[in-house]
Amino acid sequence: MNRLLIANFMRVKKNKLFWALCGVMSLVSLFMIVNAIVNNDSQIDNAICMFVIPVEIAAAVFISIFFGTEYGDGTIRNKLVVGHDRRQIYFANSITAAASGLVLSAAYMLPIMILGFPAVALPTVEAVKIVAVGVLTLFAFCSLFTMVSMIYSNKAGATVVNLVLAFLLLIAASWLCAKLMAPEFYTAHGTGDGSEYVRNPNYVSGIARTILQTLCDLLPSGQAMQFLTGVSSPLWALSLYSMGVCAVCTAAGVVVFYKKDIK
Amino acid sequence: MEYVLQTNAVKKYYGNYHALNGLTMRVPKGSIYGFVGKNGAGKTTLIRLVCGLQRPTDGEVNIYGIGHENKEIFKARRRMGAVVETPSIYLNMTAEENLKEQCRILGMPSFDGIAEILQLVGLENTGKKKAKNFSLGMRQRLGIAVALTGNPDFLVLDEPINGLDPQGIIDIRELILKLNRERGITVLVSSHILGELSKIATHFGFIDKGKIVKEMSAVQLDNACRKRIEITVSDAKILSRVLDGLNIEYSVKSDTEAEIFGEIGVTELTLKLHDEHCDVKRMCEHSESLEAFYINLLGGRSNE
Repeated sequence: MNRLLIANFMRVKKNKLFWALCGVMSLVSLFMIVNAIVNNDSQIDNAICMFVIPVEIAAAVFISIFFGTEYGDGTIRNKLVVGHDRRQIYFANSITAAASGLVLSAAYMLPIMILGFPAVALPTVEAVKIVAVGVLTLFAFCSLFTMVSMIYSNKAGATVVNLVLAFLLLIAASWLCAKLMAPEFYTAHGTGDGSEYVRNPNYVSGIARTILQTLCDLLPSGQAMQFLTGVSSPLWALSLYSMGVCAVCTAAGVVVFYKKDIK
Repeated sequence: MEYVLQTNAVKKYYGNYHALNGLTMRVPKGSIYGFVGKNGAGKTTLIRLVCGLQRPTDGEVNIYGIGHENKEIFKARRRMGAVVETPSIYLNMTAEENLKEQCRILGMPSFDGIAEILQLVGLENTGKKKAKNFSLGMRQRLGIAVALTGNPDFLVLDEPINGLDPQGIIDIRELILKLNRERGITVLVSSHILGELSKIATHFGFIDKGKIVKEMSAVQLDNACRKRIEITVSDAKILSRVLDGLNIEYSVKSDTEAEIFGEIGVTELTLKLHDEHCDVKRMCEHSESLEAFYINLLGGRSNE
């Protein structure tokens, strides 16, 4: 598998799209720093904790096109013809995707560390912990996008599916977070002297709340949203969920890719 | 005889469509095996199975005597290279970069042989030109160069001359012959251009409806293809008399034209005709082409 990894990494190194996306990540990061300075923010945490969202979208584009090229140009056949095991090919691609996600994250973090820390503030311990958990969330996203790209041989098709998936997951996560963050009571101002607390009919409680919270924790996009809006579940639980998503996506991807008829 | 590739009753089904129906074939070591069949006959499907891109529904594919289910098949596959349908090359890389990438995939310690391979396929002067800017023939040659990386001793080429111009066809033909004769590489080559295949193949396999209809060597094919001489003379009656005298099989086509079958002594025939005051105006040797043999073979079967 080392040979496949070396070959993949050399391709990543020479990939113009990858470096362009790294540049875009740095620009997004710079925008966040400027925004924090303009708004006189006392913390840099928001800029740090949101890194998963732009990196996820960049990873969706890169992974789809990078692995789609192997199908499009037919070069995946070169690996199979010379006797590489399909599982090894899949694992090598998964590791490459995760490593690329890490580099994209680094491209996002670098301007924050160089400019943001001195210009705004140092991050809180909580933010650093979230970044650590966020890396696992990013790996979960990468596993998902790798699975789609390895199963769906059409480069353009896989790119569209992964991007739609990335945005759908974010929309679903936004909806889940909005539901979960709705207050249980709100203040109603009556005609009398004071105001009174009224129960919010849209507040989700009981089993439904547990299900929505679990779903929000399970989805990588749900975790990414919680990093921004506030994490209610323990970080170790989110890490376990991310590792679970990685394991399930990789296992499903390997099983399908192993049996796949390649043209 | 030692065989590089053997398939035993291989079947491949895509849903209800049966692409291969118990195909059995043998590719002898050191041969150029011409794989002949019409569109949809199952040529590319078999090549995909041989290359490990797909798995047979039933039957066995043996490479160097190792079955496709055997774990050692991965080692056997390291000894082969292939170009399946289109050349498998990174279009945004140069020829040299493509070969370097294949070296990394193979885990080769150095890039030493790259210049030699590029020279062999005639791409040594492409410099920094990306493969996407190559002509079809150059891409095809680069595909073969990639397949040759790692010094394989079994090369599988699926329709390597499709869409090439006459010069490109000649280049590929010469390259295949060179690889076979100078490097001893066994080549399995499928092609629709039967005339070209007949110029290089040492063995033939005719496939129809997912089965091998006939396997034969080029020598056997030559014997099967009947040779004839078309002759134009001033008087076919005199020619008939002379040929009867020489006990040679023939058929008269017109008052001046005839076809002579089998081997003849041209000088003897010409002198005898001269003695009979019959002029020989034209004489031309023909043999039944691979194309004609193929049509007869497959047409005959479909009419059964």
